Amino acid sequence: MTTTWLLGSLCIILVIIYMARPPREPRVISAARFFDILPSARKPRGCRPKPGNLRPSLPFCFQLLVLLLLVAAVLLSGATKAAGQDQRIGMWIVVDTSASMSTLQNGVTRMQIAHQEIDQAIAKAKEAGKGAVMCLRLSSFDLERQDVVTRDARVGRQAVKDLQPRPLGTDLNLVRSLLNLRDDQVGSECVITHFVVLSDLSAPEWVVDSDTARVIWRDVGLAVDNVGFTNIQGIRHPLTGLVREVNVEIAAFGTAPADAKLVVTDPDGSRVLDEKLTWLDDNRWQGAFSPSGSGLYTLEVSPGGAYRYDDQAVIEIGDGEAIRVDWQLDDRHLPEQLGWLEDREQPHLRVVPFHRNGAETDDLPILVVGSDYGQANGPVEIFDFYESSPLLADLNFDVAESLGIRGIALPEGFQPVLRDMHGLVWLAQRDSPPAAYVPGLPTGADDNLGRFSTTVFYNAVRWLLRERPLPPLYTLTEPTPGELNPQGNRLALHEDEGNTARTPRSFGRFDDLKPIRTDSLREPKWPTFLTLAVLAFSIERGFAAFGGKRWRS
Amino acid sequence: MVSLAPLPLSLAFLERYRIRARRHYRPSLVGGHLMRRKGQSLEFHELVPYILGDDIRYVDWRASARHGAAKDLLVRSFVSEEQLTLVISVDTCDTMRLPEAMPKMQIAFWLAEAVALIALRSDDRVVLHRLFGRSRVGEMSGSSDFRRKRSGVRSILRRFGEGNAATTANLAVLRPHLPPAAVWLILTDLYLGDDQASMLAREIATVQDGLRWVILIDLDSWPHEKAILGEGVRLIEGPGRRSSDTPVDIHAQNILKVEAEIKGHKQRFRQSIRRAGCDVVSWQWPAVGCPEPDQFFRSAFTEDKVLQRLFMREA
Repeated sequence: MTTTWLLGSLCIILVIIYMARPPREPRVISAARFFDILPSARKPRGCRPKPGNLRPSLPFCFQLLVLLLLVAAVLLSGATKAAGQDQRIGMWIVVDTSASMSTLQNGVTRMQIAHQEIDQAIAKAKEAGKGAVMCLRLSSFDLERQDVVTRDARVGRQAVKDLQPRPLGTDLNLVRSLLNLRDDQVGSECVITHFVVLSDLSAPEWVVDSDTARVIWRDVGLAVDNVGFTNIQGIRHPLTGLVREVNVEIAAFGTAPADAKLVVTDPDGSRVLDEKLTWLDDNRWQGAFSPSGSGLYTLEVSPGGAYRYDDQAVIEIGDGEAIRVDWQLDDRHLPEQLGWLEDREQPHLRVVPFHRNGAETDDLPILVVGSDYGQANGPVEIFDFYESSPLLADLNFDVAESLGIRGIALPEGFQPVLRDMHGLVWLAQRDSPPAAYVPGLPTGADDNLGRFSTTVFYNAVRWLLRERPLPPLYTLTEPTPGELNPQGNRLALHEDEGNTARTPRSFGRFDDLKPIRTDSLREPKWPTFLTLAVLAFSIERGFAAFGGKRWRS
Repeated sequence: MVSLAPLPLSLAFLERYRIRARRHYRPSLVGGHLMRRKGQSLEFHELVPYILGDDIRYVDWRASARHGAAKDLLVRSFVSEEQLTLVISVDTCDTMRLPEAMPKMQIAFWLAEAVALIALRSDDRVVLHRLFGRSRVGEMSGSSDFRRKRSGVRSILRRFGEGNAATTANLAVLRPHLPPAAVWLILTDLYLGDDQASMLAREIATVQDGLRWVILIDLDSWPHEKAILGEGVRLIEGPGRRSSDTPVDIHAQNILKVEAEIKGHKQRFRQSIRRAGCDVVSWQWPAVGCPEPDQFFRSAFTEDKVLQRLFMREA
C-alpha cells in the first residue's frame, strides 16, 4: 500500500508541476535568429497551478501513462487472468521420505511401493494426456521439503529412484502449504494441474474435505505390527548433573508380542538389564535402569517389528559437571567444601554479598547473601509468603518464626517470598534475570538455625541452577535435519513414526489424471502492466533521443 | 527535407503566360532574347555607311551607286540571334525549409520550375543552381522533347531539396554558365549570414559588370510567422537561434524590435547590391496562420511584373 500511495502521489505531483509551470508554447520559425536580441521572458509572479496550463505534451502523456501503468500493476498485484487455452497435464509428485517409509510390509518397503505408484501415475498421465502438453515436478518431504526441478525426463526418473527414507519425522504442514500455493506461485516452467502425494499417512481431513479434484493422495501404508522405544529420559542430580537413572518407555503398535524383551548393555558390553516386557493395557511398557558409570549404553528391544528405526537406542552417560561459581563473599570455606570451581569468566552461578547487589549487568543467576540471620528481640511472626516459590521447599515456618530472623527492605526488582509482620523480607527472588536473596550462608550448627539456613541455601542454589547447560543425554544423536546417515538413535526427530498400525486411507484415483484446459488456470495480471509500462517508457525515451524537440519540451 | 509538390500551374497556363508576355516589348536595356551583332552571320539586317576597317567584300556596290554619294559606300551588315541564358539559383539553407505551413523552399522550387519551363518553351538555355552547398549545376535548353526536360527540371530541384543544408557559397561553379547578357534569377529569403551575404553581393556585382540582368526574389515569410507567434511567452526555435531554451515575451513592442532587425538585415544587403541591372522583388507571405500555398503561388507569380518582363520581347 505504501508503494501505491507513493506512485499515486507522484502522479499528482507531476500533474501539479505541469499545471504550475508557465505556458511556454514552442514556435518554430525561420526568423528565429532575430529573436536573440530579445531578453528572456520575465518570471511569472506566482506559480499557482492553473487548469489552463494543463495542455499535456506528448512526453508528459507518456510519462503519466508509465506511472498509471505502474500504479495499476501494484493495485492489481493479486488479480489474475486466464493462462491459456492448451490441454495439458502438469503433475507435481510429492513423496514422503520420512522414516516410516522404510517400514517393511509384505517383504517390500513402503518407499518401494511408492516408486511403483509413481511409475503408474506417470504411465496413466501419459496415456490420458496424448496430444496434450505434459510436464512433471517432483518434491520430497519429511521434516523439510526438497524440490527436484529438471526438464530432463531421465534425470527426473533417476531422482525418483534416488528418493530414500530418512530417519526423520513427518511434517504434513509442508504438503498443506504446497497445495495452498496459488497458480502463479507454483512456477512458470510447469503449469500444475494435479498434485500426486505418496505417503504412508492417511489422507488428512483438509484434503478429503476440499472439493478440489487436483489432489490425489495415495496412502501406501498397510497396518503392520511394530514395537519400539517411544521415550528415553535421564534423571539427573540437581546439583552435580549426574544421570542417576534412565526411564524407558516402549510401545507396541498393532498386536503386542508376548516374547518381547529389553536388553541394556553398558560400555563394557555387560548386560545392565535383560527384561521380558509386560505390557500395560495401552500396549506400553515403562521401566528404568541405573547406569553403573559413564559411557555409551545400548538399549535394544526385540522383536522390533516392521519399523526398524525405533528398535535400538544408544545413549551417552556423562560424568556430570562440577559447578563453576563466581564467589564474591569473603567466607570461602563453603565452595571449597562443596568442590565448586572458582570461575570468574564463565560461571554457572554468581554469589554476591547484599551490599553489591545490582552491580552486575549480565544475565547470570545470582545468589544474594545477607550479612547474617541476626537475632531479633524474640520471635517474629510471618506476615505473608509466596506459596509456590521453590525457595520455601521443606521449610518449617514455625521454626522460622522462632528464629527471630532480622529482615531487610525488599531489594529493587525482587518479589518477597517470606515476609514478617514489619514488612521486612527474609527471603526474596527475581525471575529475570534469575536471582534469590537469602539472609546468610549455612551456619553449619546442628540446631534449628543451622538446618533452616542450609535448606534455604540449597533451595536457592538448586532453583538458580535449574537451567544451567548440561551435556545432552543423546550426544550421538544431535538433531541435524537432512543428515542421511545418522549414528545412534534419533527418537526425538521421528516421534510417532513407529505407529505403523494405522488404517490406510487414500483420496482420489490415478484415473483422475486427465488433461484439463488451462483456461481454468490463472496467471497474474501485473506482469502485463509492468511490460506495458516498460514499453511506454522505452518509446518515450526513444522519441526523446531521436524524435525532435517537441519530445524534449 | 522539403518534398517537391506538383507545380500548381498547368502547362497551358504557363504557355498563356509566355504568349501574353511576348506581346509586350521590354523597356530595359539589359537582357533579352535577341543580341544583335555585326558579323558574318546568316541573316542580312541592314545597309550601313562604310567606315574604316569594314570588310570591303561586304560593300554593296549597287546600293552604293543607287543611294550613296560619290564617296559614301554602303556596307551590308548581318545579325546573329543568340539564345537567352537564364540562370536560376535557389537558396536551400535551413531557413528556407520554414515555415512549416508553407515552406519558402517549396515556393522557390515552384517558381524555378515555372520559369524554367517557360524559358525552355522559348528555346532559351536554362541553368539550375544551388546557391549554397557543394552541388553541380543542371543545364538544359531547347523546347524539343519538352516532357523529358520538364521531368529533368523536377529531378534537379528534388536533388537540391534533398541535400544537406550547407552554408558555403556555391558560386564558383556558376561563372562558366553566366555569359554576358545572361539573366540570373536568385530565389532566397535573404536570411543570410554575414559571410554568405558579402560573398553573394560580390558575385552579383561581378556579374552585373557583364551587362547581365540580376533578379533577386526575396521570399519574405515574416508576415505569416508573425501571425503564428501570437502573444505571450513563447519558446522560439529555428535555424540560427542561439538560446532556443530561453522563453521570450511576445508582444507588440518586441515584435517591432524583431521586425526592425530583420528589415535592417535585408536593407544592408540590398544597399550592397544597389546598382543598375539588379531588380529586387519581395514575395510576402500572407499574414494568416494557415496560408494556401497553391493559391499564394499562383497569385504571386501572375502579378509579378519583373518576371513578366523577363519574357517580353526586346524593343
